[in-house]
Amino acid sequence: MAIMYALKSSDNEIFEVEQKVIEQSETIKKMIEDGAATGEIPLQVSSKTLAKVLEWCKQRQHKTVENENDDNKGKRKKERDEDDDIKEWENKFSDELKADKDVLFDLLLASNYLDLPALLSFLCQLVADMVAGKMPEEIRRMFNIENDFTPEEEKAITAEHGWAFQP
Amino acid sequence: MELKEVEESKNDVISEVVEMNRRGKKRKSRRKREKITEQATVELPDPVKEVVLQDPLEVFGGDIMLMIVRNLDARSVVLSLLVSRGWHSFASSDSLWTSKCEELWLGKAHLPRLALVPGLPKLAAYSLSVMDGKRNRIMKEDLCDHVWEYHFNKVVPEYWLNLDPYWKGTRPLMHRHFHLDGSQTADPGDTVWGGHECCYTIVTSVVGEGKLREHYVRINHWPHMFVSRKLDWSWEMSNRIYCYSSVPDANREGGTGPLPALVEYS
Repeated sequence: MAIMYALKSSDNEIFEVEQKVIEQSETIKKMIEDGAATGEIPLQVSSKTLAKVLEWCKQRQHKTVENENDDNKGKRKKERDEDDDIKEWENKFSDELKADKDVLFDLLLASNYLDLPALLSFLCQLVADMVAGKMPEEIRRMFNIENDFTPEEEKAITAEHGWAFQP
Repeated sequence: MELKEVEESKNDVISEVVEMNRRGKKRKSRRKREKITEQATVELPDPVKEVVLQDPLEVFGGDIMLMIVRNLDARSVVLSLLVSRGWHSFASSDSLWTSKCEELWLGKAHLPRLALVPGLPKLAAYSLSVMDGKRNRIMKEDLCDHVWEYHFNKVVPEYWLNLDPYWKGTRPLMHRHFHLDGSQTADPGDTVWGGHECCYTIVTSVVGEGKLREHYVRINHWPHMFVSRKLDWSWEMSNRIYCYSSVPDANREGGTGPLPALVEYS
């Protein structure tokens, strides 16, 4: 029987999770090892975001368990199929996040707080995709950022890196 | 059932409009989402939502922003420098640009001296390198810093081709050296070197705004050699009769070529 832990979100929702799933979080793993994980584990993460975190952890968990059960025969094809499945799953996961960028930001913060390096780097890539190839003005508009450079400073930076501003 | 269908086709129309706003991307996932939620109210198109996003720098802080921009190509990072002072401070970090410089310099024939000045921020080193790599005007320093491979072109008489290791398929190839005093020499034992004195001139004429009109290198009174630059930043100088190529020397400490004050046109 798998060991279960109860996670409590910042809005007081309880999530029952298998140890193996949640141990991917270095933060929680450490809490368990230190014996600090008795009863409900309170987390500074909203229930909406925590649900996403667990969705990610379960998918990763699934993957590692299957790999362990594999014997070498026919492994390659299976791995390939699995890679395709994971890709597809990740695409769906990132499409959902792209459609709701508030969740994307919350999830990124949560992955940092819970110390989930794989999720963190996955999400950093998603945010990078939002910025890639965009002009400064477009980035400012997207994130509601005020331009605090003087025109002279802007001119100096543009001149120093002229190659990047040419079409 | 009929009612639901009407609802769905209405959603389709909304999807169409949204789709036009979003250049046709992600239509499928959007429609799916709408079906799952089955909400009665009409959802506002995403662009409205995007405007109210917060500055990720304020949300995540500099360390995570640095992780994010590590995923970007150099040009995108440079563009993000101008977003705000806060963005400039993480996007210009040496730790980020050190690896970008290494990537850029990998496989290049020459590294510009001006980008290897000790203590220079790596972002500046990157931009100076890119811009120097686009420089088509050759300087005395370029000629003198590099060793040049030299070979005849096929049009010369058989007699000369037979003396040229490039055409005989033997090694080493012939080399020429340029010196700061304006002279030129060959390796000892060079079979086509006449032993007479040689001097070189770089001729550059400019029209308006630093645009090159005429640019060539000439040795003695021999035909002009026109200058070109390759993708790996090496140089080639050639006329109908012979061709000079700069020998790669990227491993040379401190780099090669002119310093900033000497580069007038790039």
